[in-house]
Amino acid sequence: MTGAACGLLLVLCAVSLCVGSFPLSLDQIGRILQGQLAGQLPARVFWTLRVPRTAVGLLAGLGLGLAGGVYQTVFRNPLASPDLTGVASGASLGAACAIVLGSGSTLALMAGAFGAGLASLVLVLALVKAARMEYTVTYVLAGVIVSSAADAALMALKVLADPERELAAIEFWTMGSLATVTAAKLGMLAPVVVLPLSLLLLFRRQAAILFLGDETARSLGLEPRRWRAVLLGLTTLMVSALVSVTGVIAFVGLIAPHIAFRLLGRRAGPYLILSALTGADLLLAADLLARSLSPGAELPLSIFTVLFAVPVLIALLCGRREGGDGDA
Amino acid sequence: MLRVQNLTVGYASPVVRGASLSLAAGQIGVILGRNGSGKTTLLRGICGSARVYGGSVQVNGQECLGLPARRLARHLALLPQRSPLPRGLRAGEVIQMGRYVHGSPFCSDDPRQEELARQAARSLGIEELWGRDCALLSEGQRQLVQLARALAQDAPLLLLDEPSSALDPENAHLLFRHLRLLTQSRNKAALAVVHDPALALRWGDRLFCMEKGILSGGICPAEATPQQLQDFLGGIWPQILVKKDKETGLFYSLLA
Repeated sequence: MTGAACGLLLVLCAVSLCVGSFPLSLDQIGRILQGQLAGQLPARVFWTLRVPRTAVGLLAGLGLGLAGGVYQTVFRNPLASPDLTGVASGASLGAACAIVLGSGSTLALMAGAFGAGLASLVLVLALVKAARMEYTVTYVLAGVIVSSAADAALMALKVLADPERELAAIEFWTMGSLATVTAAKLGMLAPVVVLPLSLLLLFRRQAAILFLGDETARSLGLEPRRWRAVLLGLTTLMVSALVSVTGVIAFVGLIAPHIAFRLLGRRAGPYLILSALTGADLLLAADLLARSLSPGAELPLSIFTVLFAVPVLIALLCGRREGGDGDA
Repeated sequence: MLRVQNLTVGYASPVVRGASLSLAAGQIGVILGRNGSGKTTLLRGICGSARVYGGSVQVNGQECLGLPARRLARHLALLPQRSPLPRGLRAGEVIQMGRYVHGSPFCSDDPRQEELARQAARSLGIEELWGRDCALLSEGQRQLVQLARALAQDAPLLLLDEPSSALDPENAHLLFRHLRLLTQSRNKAALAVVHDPALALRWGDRLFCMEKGILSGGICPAEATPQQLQDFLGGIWPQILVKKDKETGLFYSLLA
């Protein structure tokens, strides 16, 4: 199953490198890679647009899918997703602040989203500490509180925003897109995503043990508080960095783990790896549709990720009704 | 093997006060008591899951209170009263988690560790459950899987909180027979909370009573007279009658 997801990902990556307003053939890409078209338009399109866009799409899909799998395992909640700890809402608020109150430049937008995403995690952790109850439900409630506050502030900013310019920019950003990805952004994003991604895959055994509950995890030799903080900290860092570049991409973190679970029938072993690969497949497929369906214009990514999510969620709902899905 | 001295544990406030007990290697200790008397809190205190207000817990001379989880897991294994096994985990994966403290923390595919985990499953007769999803097992089978997971941990002390609550009488006795073999052949000790006086009388080497957070007893059925056992159990459940089988010499209990 993991091999099939890898194969599909390779195909999607290849198509993603070819498709766009300036199409490239596989033959051209082969020649570009051999250095035969150096300095010519196809090579410039390939290196400055297609490769960064495909690489960021790949990283974002892997990161969101993996983050969703980690959240659903650590929180033992099938509805958990990276939005749960308020990261996405916080990052949206940060980006909106940069658009409305700041210069609105790319760097300001990225810094605002990343900083506010991390600040959301700090607030969630502070609330958990103040509650003196480090249970999974405490994290969920703290995340809901921070998310709600960030959403309220975002609504206030939308009221203040210039309807023609700033409001449109906020709306487009909160629906996610890879249209503005550049090689420079990829360079900044890659280390902040690859390191947590690798560590989270390394720590998948700890995530599976947390799935058994705190008391059992501790008796097995795993410190639940410490490991939960490590896993959530890494996912938040990764998701904040991703959201700061791509905007908010809905549902990938929620449905990718469900598809992985449906395919594998388990939440251990290769589950997190498959969650990540499925997330990348979904996101690259959505990006291909976003840039292909409307010639000359880019559609927001979330339109397609939500469309992908609908049948998955219906299948989940029907599975639960039939009693076949239990707590998954 | 296990020495608990003057242990006071609880949550926001103490629940169990000044508990002391000791078990030698090869012994099974049984804690009896009414619901809500503090039995589970005592086990949680011994394994560091509840708040400790004072006292000491030593396993083989090593002070265990305050030890990091990974070091503590080498001294004791816990079978909690409620340990749900969510859908999506196979029995074999859960049992292999018992080997977490022994192998590399980042590698779950070590064949040697898997074989040791399989041995634990085999010893309880549940190896055929290895590849099955835990959510599809019966409550009794899940309890056996959790017990196999605790056995796979291979700690010198086993703490068992109502290990037979979901088992039929035959499997409950089989479980304790296995515990007896394990403790005696591998120099381990077990401390179990049970509600069935018959199991306690049949398999317990030392019986303790918990009442309103105070631990007492330490009576040894093999050396006790029927009247001593009657007084001990009657103190918890006044309707219980203790009898001795003339042929086997074993004690059993009746509800009057």
